Amino acid sequence: MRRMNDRKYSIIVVCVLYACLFSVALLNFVVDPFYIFRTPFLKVRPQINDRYDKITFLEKNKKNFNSYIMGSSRMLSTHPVNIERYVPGAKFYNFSIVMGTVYDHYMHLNYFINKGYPVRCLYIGLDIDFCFLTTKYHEKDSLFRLHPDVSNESRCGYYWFYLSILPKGDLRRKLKWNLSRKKMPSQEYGKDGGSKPETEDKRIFEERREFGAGMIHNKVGNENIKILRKMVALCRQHGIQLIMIVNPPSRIAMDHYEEDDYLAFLKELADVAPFWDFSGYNSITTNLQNYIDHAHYKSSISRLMAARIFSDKTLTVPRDFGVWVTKENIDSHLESLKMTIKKNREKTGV
Amino acid sequence: MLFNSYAFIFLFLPITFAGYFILNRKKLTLAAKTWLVLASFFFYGYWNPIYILFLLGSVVFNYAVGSILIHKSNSPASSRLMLVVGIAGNLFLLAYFKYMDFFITNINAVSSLNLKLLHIALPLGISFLTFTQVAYLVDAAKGMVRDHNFLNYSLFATFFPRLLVGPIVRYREIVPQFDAPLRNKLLNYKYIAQGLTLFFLGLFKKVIIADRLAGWANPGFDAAASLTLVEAWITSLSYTLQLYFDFSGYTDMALGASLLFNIKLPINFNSPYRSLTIQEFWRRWHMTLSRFIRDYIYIPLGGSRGSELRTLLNILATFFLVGLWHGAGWTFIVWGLLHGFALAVFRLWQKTPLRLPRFVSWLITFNFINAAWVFFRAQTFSGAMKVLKGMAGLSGVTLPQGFAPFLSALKEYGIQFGNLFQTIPWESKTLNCFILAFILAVFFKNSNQFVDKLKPNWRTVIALSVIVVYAILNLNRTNEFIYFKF
Repeated sequence: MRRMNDRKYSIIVVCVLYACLFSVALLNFVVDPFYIFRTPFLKVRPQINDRYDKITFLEKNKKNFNSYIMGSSRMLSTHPVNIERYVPGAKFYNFSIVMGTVYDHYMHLNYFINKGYPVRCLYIGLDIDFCFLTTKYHEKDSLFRLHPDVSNESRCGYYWFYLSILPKGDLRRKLKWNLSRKKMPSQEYGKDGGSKPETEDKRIFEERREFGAGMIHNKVGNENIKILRKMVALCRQHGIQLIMIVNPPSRIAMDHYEEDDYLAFLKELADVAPFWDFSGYNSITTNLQNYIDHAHYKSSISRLMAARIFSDKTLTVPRDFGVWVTKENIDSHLESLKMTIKKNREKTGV
Repeated sequence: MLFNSYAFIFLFLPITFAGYFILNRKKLTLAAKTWLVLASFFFYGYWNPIYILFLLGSVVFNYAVGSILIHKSNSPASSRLMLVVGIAGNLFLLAYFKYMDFFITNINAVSSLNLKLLHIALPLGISFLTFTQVAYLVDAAKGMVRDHNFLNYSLFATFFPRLLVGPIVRYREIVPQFDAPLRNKLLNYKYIAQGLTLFFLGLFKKVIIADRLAGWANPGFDAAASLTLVEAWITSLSYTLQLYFDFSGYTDMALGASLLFNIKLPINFNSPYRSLTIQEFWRRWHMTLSRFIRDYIYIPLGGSRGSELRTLLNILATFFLVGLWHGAGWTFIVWGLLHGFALAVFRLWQKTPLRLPRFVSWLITFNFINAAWVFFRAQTFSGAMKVLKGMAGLSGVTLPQGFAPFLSALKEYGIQFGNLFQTIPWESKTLNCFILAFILAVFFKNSNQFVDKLKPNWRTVIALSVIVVYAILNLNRTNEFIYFKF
């Protein structure tokens, strides 16, 4: 083959290099798989980075709210209006985020306080499994990356990250959903941050989603407890009313929690602050009709949880659903949980 | 700053390159050199600007000691004293930053003092910087350093392509290139073509091969206790290949980036996994380190000039230090001693008339290297032993389910049939990469040989473009270079 001169060879390689970079950036910008750039070309959004999305929304609307619901997607079914009725003067925004961790909640609370957002009340839902599995997502986890103002990184670097990654699966999915003839559901939130009422509770519990083999152990030790302590201290320092709850996982999820780790976590949690415990095997968690999948309960259940917390007598809440746990009663609570765990796991053969 | 980052490839390198050649074109060679030094400091301080002070302090100290050493009016005794002071200063810094917690851990293990660990942040590249500067001081004391000035010395010590992970260079092989006539400081398209090719081959080795293999090596070492025979072998071999492609990939990028500035750095790898003996391995693996330990540790210890026993002890002592240099942990020391022991055995073997067929020789050498890397990679000694136990089949043998109908008799001997990949994740892409890596490492020309004979044409430009595109598209998933922590 004919020899090419070195200059031409070098120029072609450099041109290919920059063309490649430019193409990737353009593709990411146009498709916008995590809805960071707000590009209008593809309307259906299979997923969005809700950590970024909700902070961006609040930048413009912070004055409309003075209280926050925090948690993972399981808390999305908790409608602000259902809590506001019990907390006079409170205007809640549902800041629940997909796969939200204690670290995320702490960072967001810190951000609200530092930015001078009014925060009167914090209604926070904890998930045992997330507390066992992780503290902080990797910074390259595009879907869960915190807003740059929250993580204190440069906006330039943040946007560059989303222009330069090539999330093949996410790009493909967004393109496919937008080109599909079927009407595909778009991920979006109501103006109060919660899921839109018309999309919720329509799904029914269809299948037993497998957790994979084995039990869920606490892999992160007491890291999340340490973060929670900092969060509680922050609330005390700023006079924020903190309502902490442990979410009710379905019995299918409960079956997979390693008993000793689960009970030890609750014990440590009681040492951090009093909380409402809705977990364990009880008349709500053992009835799969209350769930849309193994982890996500319906909004009717979140309504019952609020009724239990705020002693609303107009609703009938099962007696075994929700226990106010403090340092003083934690041991008796754990004994009672142990008994129900034993009884239920014997029954199901776990 | 990482070589495999957008910031380096698309901003830092082009800007530094353009600045250097613009200044040279205007005959401002001193300014061009200063520009490279400033760029190197920026490169080093990119993660944490406080490191710049460390680097600056180290450079100034060594330059000052070197200036005294090369002064001809010194008496031999005062020269020796200055050399000891200089080397001790460098080793003290290395010991403080790198080995203090290791030292405290061992004190705690043999006493009841229960001293608190310091958790000192390790400045990047400190091990390489120390060796480079120690070599300079020794050369200065021997009168082998000429054309000594602060700018040249700063550039020698901090030149960004080799600053963090080497190659470990000598003053006399790099500084004359900084002082080359102006015509050698203008754009040289031959070097640019070679440099770009080498840089992107290195990027491909790191991003596509090494990082993909980490997908098997990391989970394997994390779950060492539950590895079956096949998984244990896959884990260790994946790491063996990952380490080579990671480190040699970095070195290729360093050599390539350096060539863009018309500076030739010494090569560091010459297809080490083709070695037929352990001695040959150390002539092909991390060659500039081997040269350093030979010239500055092994020979000063006496080398092979004394009795046979003394020579063997010198080899063991040298490799003890090689192990310790790599990391503050007993696993690294065991790894170093294993290599020292193997070299000692090889030396004795050479004195016998026995010779092995080439393939057997390669097989033994390769497997020894592979087994020794297990200590290098494992977090703890027991972790390494678990992987080795798995490789020996002592943690259970599982064969593919498809073999069960034919080999069911083996069940009596404890052999199970089922999924081969129980602990490490099965991925066909990783398997393809594993096979490709092995073939490239053992049978193909290495990147330096390829670039030496580079004849640009449409075929090579298309091949390199594919490599560039593939590597750039995967750039955001990359990890740090393994040798960064050493």
